[in-house]
Amino acid sequence: MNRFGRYLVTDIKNAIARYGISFLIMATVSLTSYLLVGFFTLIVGTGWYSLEMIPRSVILGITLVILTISAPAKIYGFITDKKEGSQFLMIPASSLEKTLSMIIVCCVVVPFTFFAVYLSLDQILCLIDGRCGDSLIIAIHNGQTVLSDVFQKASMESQNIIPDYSSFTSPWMYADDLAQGFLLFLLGALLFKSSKPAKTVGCLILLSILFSMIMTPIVTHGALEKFKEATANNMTPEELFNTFPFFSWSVKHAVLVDCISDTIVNIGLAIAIYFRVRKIKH
Amino acid sequence: MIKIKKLGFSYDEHVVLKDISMELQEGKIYGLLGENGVGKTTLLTLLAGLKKVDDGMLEIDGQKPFNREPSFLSNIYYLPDEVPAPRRKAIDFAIDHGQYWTNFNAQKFSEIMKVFDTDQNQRMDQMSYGQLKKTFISFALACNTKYLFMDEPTNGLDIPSKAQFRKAVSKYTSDDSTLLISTHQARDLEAIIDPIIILDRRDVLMNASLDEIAEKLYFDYSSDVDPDALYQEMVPGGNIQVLRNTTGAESKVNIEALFNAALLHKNEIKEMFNK
Repeated sequence: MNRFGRYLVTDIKNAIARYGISFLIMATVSLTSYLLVGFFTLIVGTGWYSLEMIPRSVILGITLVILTISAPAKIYGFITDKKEGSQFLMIPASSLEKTLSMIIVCCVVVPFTFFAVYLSLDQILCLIDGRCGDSLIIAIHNGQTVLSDVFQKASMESQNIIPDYSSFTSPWMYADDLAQGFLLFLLGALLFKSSKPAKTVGCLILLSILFSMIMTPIVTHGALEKFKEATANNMTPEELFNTFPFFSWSVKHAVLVDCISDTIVNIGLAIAIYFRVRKIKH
Repeated sequence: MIKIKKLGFSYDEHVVLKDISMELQEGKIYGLLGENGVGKTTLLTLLAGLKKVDDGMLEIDGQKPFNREPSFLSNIYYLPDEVPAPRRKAIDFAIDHGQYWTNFNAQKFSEIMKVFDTDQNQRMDQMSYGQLKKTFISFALACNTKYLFMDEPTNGLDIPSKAQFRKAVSKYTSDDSTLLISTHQARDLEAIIDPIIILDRRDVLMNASLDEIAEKLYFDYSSDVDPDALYQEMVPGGNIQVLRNTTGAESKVNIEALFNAALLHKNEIKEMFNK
């Protein structure tokens, strides 16, 4: 095995040592939440209650958010610590190898293993207890089909003002967003010495406010005049929509815009992580 | 070879190292002495590439440490004063980490752990500070690197362990390795370090071998007090005096007395050894 391969294996072992137990707790939330709710309802005398698909989906969402926020800081937060960080920096592997390994662990290994364990347990529960309804895997598949139909219908009825968003319903469309979440919190884990997730969230809020302040005047430039003009001239919604060329183009090509913007942001985050690893001092 | 020329480093406004110049030859065990806060640890971390040089030049075999190239890192190991406690067995940690250092020898790690009388199958986060330090010393020596930098390696070691440390360094360091060991406790390392570097605030007072020191200074252990002594201290059974060696007489260098003499007569010592 080459050096990168060996480094990645060591890094995964390190991730298991630092985050294994927390990860196991989160990956088995489908089972523990099912048992907790069931036993609780049994104790209070309403009989065994099996969690249905919707509350189970909400629990999955919440667990995923906690995983995204906590995993990078728990696995790589030690790098800003003088004692442990020095050991990390002295390992004879390049900064690029170290960065790539971190990104693979955070954006591929952790989420994929999490989904594999979580969804498998959920599937088994649904097979054992018929009152749970559809498993999350089936729900995702069905939801995708239903939403896809809705978008197609909406697109046809709105005479193509609203484009066909059916490809947005694929779970794979959100893989880059999930990776973005992990990359953001990984960068936060490398930048801040303490309260890493909280400081990262704080920075994200500040950046969002700043970005909105800059972008809103640009995007809505001349909007009021255009709305007045549209009212005076009895414009159709499609005509009004087309008076905002950038906005209308972005809406029509939302899937492309989403992919490109996420890719640019993710590459930017990866580069920032690389330079942080390269320039960190102890 | 380690080359340092007019090296400068500051923590914000606080200047720690300024105009430091020296060369470290291969195959020697250097002792780095100095008072608290003179920049010994800073110098070691700069050599290990953990900090970036502000001014001047620092090169190890022509490479700049802060670039942290794998080829450079595989030739060095830095043992800090404070070491982490991974949640792993010592042997597992050593094998897993050691694989990145080309010359790492797991067998040697086990042997040194035995010298230190430390269980290599014990989890490192359950070890005492001394055991942990001995594990890292064993790992550092087992990496067989060309350059090994140790910061206060005997801190936290009990008396038998200090003797074991000297034994391990003497036995398990290869002839072409260069060691730079910083210490406050000169007595702990008296038998193994040669040459001696004495670092002062923003200056190098001395970078000399024991032979050179013995040639220029005479260490007198008699009970007669010489008023011209550079340093004099009463010890049980007599005195230790550091005198200018005007006659060429031979004596055994006492590093602690030398260090104290150097601090009391900085300019004279600097001039004497920089000629």
